[in-house]
Amino acid sequence: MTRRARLPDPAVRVWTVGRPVVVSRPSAADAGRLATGVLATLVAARRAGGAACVLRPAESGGDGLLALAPVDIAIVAPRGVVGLWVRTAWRASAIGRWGRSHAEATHAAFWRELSRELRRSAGDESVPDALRKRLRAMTRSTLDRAAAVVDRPSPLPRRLLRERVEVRLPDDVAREAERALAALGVGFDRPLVAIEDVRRPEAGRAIARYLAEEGYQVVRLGAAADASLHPGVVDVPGPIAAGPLSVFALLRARFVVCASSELQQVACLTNVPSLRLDAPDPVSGYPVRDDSFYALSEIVDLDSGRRYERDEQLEDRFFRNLRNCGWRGTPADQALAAVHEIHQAQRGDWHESGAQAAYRARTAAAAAALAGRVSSAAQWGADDGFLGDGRLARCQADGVL
Amino acid sequence: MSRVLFVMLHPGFIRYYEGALQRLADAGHHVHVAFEVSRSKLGEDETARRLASRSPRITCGTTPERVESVREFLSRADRTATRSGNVDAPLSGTRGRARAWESLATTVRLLGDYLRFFEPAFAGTTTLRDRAEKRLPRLESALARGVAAAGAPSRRLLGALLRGFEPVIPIPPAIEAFVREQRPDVLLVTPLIELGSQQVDYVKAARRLGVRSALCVASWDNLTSKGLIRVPPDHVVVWNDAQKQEATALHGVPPDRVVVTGAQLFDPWFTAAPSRSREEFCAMVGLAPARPFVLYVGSSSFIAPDEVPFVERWLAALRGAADPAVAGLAALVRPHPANARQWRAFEPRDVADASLWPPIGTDPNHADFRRDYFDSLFHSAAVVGVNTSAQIEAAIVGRPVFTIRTPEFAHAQGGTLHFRHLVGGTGVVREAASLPEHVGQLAALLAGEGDAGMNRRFVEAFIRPRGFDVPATPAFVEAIAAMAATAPPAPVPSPAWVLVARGPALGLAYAAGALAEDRPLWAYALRSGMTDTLVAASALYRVRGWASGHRRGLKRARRAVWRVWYESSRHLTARLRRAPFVLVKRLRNAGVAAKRAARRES
Repeated sequence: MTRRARLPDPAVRVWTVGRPVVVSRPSAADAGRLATGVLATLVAARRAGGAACVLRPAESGGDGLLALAPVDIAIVAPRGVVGLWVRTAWRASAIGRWGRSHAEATHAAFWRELSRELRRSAGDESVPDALRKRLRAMTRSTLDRAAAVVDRPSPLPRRLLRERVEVRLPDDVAREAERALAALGVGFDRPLVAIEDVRRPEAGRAIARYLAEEGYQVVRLGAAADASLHPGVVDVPGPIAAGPLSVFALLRARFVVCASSELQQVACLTNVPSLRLDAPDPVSGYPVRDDSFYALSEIVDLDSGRRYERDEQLEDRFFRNLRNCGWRGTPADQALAAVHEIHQAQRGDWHESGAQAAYRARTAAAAAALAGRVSSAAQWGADDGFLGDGRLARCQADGVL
Repeated sequence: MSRVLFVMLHPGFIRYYEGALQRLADAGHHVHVAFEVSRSKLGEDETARRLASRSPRITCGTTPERVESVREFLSRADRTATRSGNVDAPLSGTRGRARAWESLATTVRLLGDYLRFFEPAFAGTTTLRDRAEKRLPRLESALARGVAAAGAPSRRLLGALLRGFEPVIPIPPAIEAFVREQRPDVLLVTPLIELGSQQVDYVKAARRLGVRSALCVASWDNLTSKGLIRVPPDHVVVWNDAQKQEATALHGVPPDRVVVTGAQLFDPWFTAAPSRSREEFCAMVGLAPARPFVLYVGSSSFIAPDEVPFVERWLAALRGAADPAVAGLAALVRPHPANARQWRAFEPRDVADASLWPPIGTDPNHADFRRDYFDSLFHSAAVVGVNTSAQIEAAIVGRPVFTIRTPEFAHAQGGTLHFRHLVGGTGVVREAASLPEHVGQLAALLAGEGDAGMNRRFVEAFIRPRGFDVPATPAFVEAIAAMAATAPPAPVPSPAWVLVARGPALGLAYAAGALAEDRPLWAYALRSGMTDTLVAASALYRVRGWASGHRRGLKRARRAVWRVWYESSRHLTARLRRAPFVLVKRLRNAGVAAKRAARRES
C-alpha cells in the first residue's frame, strides 16, 4: 500500500504551472542535517509527482551537497517569476510556522507557569493538606497539558530517507573534483572507500590497514590531520562531506565507514552503503537502508564505572541516564569485524543472521515504545513505527541474542 | 599580637593559605577562619579540622547565615525544578525586607559581573560571558545585552549605576555584628570575585567599623575569569605584577593598594623531594621504568568538560609518531581531582605503555596525594595539559610544559585571559597548533633541546617576583602582619544621601526579589489572583475540615434545632388552628356572662 506523501519538516507544497513543487530550506548547520533535508525534499517531490526546490540555507557551507542534482526529479531554481512565487510562498509559510510556533510556545508557557504557581502553593505548609493534595494533582495535570502543546522537534524522516534518489554532481564540478582528488593521490583505478576518524585510534589504524590490504583506495574525510592512519590513506581536506571533493569521493565510494551521524546521513543522500561505528545508543544511530550497518560504542555509567550490557541499552532507564554515560567507542576487534562484514556484503557474500533480524525487531519495538517518553528517542527514533532496514554488526548482534 | 579574621567562601580555599596561616599563628597572631559555605565534596571539611588542630591560635568556624545566599537566589529561578517548594517568606516584615535587599544585592552584583565581559579586554571570551549570563534572570540579562549593544558609553553608564547601588544596599546586621564581635585587626577575604559574591558585605562592614581589610587573590585566574571586586578593600594581595596590572586595569583598584607577595601556595614545591625512586614510582603506576614517560595533567570541568577523546587522540599521535623516541614514550594520565568522573570512560589498557593514575576517587586531601603528585611530576620527562595550574607546578619542578591548541578547547585557551600568562612572552608553556606540531616539539625535547631558561624566567615573574630563591609565604605573612600593625582607618558611616536613597531602593529590592524567580511578567499578575483564590479555598477547606471533625455534635445540634423548630411550629399551628374556636368560646362565654349580668340588674 502506498503511504500518503508526507512533507519533510519544514517544507511547503506550492503549485506552479500545473505541477506541485515541494519547497524547503534545510539547515546547513551540519552536513547530515543538510543531506537529510535535501533527500527528504526530493523524495517528497517524487511522491507528490512534482518538482523540488531547495532554497539556499541561511548558514554558509554545504556547497557540495547543494550542487547535487537528482536524475529523475525536476528541480525548480528559485529564479525568475516562478522563483519569486516559490520564495513568496516559502516566506508566507515561514511566517505561519513562526506564528504557530510562538502561539504554541505561549500556550505551553501558560500551563507551565500555572503549574509552577500551583506547585509553589502546594509547598505552602499553611495550606490545608487536602487542598495541597489537590494542588499537586492539578500541578501534574497542567504539566501534562504543557507537554501536550510543547513544540517537539520533528523526528528524523526515516521513511523518506529509506527511498533512494539517484543524484550526481554537475559535470564540470565532478571533473574538477576528480582532478583535485587525483592530485591528492587518490587512485581511481581501485574501488574507493571513504572513512572517518573513529573514537579509538587503534581501531582506525586497523581498519585502514585492512581496507588497504583488500585493495581499496581509502580516503579519509574531515581528518584532523593529527596522525596518519596508513600510508595508503589519502586525507581529503575540509569539513566532513560538505565540499565538492568529499561529495565526489562519496559518490564514487563503494562504502563508507563513519563514526558520526553526519556522514551516515550524507551517505544516504549519495546512496552509499555505510557502516556506522561508535554509535552512542541503539536507536539514534540505527541505519535506515538495508545495505548499511552499525556497531555500538562501549557505554559506561560514569557514576559507577559499570559497562552497560547491550540488553540494558534498550531500556527506558538507560535513555533517561544518558547524561551520566561515557562512551569508549567500538572496540577495535569488533570494528574490524564490522568492516569485514560490510566488505563481504559488497561482494555479495553475506546473509543476515537470525540474531541481526531479531535485534532489529527488538530495537524497533523499543524505539516505538520509548518515543512517547524519551525526547531523544522521539527525535531520532522510529518514524511512524519505522526505525530502519539496516543491521547491527553481526559480531555485536550475536553477543546479544 | 594581632587578630586576623579570614573569611573564605568554603574550606577548599584553605589549601591556598595553609602554610601562611600556620606561619601567622607561629608568629603569635590569632587567626580565625570563617567559611561562608560548608563543603565536603573533596574532603574540604577535613582540611578545616586539620588546620584548626595545628595551632591553638587557629580557629575555624562559620560566618552568619545569610537570609538568602547566592545559591538560594539562583535556585529560585530554576525553571526545571519538579518538587514542591516552600512558598517564599512573606515580603513584609523584617525578614522579608532583608531578603529583598539580598535579592537586590545579588541581582546588582550578577549584572555587574555579566556586564564586565562586554569590555574590550574580554573580547573573545564568550564562554566566560555565557557562564555569567546563565546566572542572571532573563529580564536582567536582556537588559544588560541591550545596554552593551548600544555601545561603550551606555555600558559605562549602567556600570556606574550598578556601582552606585552598592553603598545603598545595607550591610546585613548579622554580618556587621559578626565582624564587631570578632574585633579583628585585619579582615581578609577570599575569593571575593565569585559571580555575585556576597563577601563584599564583609569589606563594607570593615569599612563601616574602621577595620582594615584585604583581598587575598587565591589563584591565577581569579581576577580575569570571574566577577568584579566591586568595593575595593584597603589592600589587595596578589602573586605578581601581572595580577597587579589586572587588579588596577580590570577592577579599578588603586595601584598603591596592591601588594605583591608571590604565590605562597607553591612554596612547598620548591623544597619538595621525591618520596620514591623512579623505578618504584613506575612500578606503582604501571609503567615500564626503562622508558621515559610524559605526564598528561587533566583540567577542570569548565576548561575541559570532554577531555577523554582528546587524550585518546593525543596518545594515538604519540604512538604514531615517526620519531621512535616519541613513539616509545610511556604516558601517564592524571585526571583533575574535581573532574575525574569522565575518566571512567577512558581505557588506558587500549594503548601500549599508558596508565591512568591516581585511581578515580582518590581523596585529594589525603596526606599522600600531594606527595604522589610531586613524584609524578618529578619523574616525568615532560608535562602536557590544556590549561591548568598543574602546568605551573610542573614549571616549578623544572619540567618542560606543553599544550596543544584544539577547537574543542578554544573556549578555555584563547577564550580566557589567564591562559595568556602561560603562553608566549614570559610564558612557560610551549604551545602547538596541532598534534603533529606537538609531536615535533616532543621530538626536539628528547633530542636534547633545552628550555633556554624559560621555566626560571616564568617562575621569577609569576610565582616568586621577589626572587627565585625568596619564598612567598614570609612575604605574605609580613604583609598581613604589617596591615594588622598599622593604625585602623576611621569608621566610615553611611552618608545622608544613602539613607534617603534606601526608601525608593527598597521598592526595587522587592521587585528584584520577585524577578529572581525568572517568570514571565504575566505570571506575577496571575499570582495575586491565585493567592486570593487560594486563601478563599483554604478557608473553605478549613470550614469543611472542621465540620467533618465535629459531625456527631453538629448532627445533634441540627436535630435539636429541628426539634425545637418542629415542635414550636406544630404547637403554633395547633394554637392557630384552635384560635377561632377559643375566640368563639370566649365570645360565647362573654355573651353568656353579659346576659347573666343584664338579668341580674333587671
